[in-house]
Amino acid sequence: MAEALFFYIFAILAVATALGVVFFRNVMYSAISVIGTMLMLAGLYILLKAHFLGIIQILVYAGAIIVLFLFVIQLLNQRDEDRAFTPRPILLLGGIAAGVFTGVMLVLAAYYYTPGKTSRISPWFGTVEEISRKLFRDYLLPFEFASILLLAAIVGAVVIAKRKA
Amino acid sequence: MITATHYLVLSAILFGIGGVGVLLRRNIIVLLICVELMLNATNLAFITFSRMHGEESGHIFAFFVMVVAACEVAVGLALVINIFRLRQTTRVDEYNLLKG
Repeated sequence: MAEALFFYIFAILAVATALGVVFFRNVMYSAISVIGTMLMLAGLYILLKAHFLGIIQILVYAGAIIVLFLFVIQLLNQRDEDRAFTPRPILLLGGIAAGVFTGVMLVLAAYYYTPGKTSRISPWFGTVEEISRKLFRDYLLPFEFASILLLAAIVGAVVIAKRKA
Repeated sequence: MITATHYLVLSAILFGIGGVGVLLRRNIIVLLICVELMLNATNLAFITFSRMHGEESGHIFAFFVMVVAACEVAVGLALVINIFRLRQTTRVDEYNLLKG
């Protein structure tokens, strides 16, 4: 029952902070709020026995990506926006579209996929050893391509941001 | 008893909230943050299926999603800085020209 307790704590806080991201008018609050979502998702990953990914989630998302967002928000020195949201008719349309989409996803998640029990796993499931064995044996080529992609992104980001307009 | 369905429903809800943010907000930075939220929701689905099948390939996929997300943020924010220099605003409504 501890699993259920932790699941509901993490899930409710994740949804609450995600709603905060959308509905805070101040961009800074949105960015801080999304850190909460990332931390809660890390907790959920650990509940799903993905220990390595839980730690990576905290390091990469909360530690690097969102901090990058915070730096850019502070660099840009934006004026206070008078309207954070779209004008009303489009807002309604967008809300309906997103609501319908979420509803379809929920129906699919709840009814179309009804698994039996989760399969048995070894005690080492999701640890660094198992993930690295998989990554460097079965997925070595994608791993190398990922490093090329990261290099291209670093160079591209520097070139784009440095260019004098 | 928490089943995979619970996690998948949570994943769908988070994806929907991210989608609402992308459709309704006007600030380019909040839009990028909401895209991150949607990517995280898909990661949760990947890891749920991975746990259910007792197979770690889902973890690897989530890992690559994180790599791509990091690249996307780096290049996206560089573009935002560049556009902000030109237009002095972060409202996406004002971004109606490819150059100047």
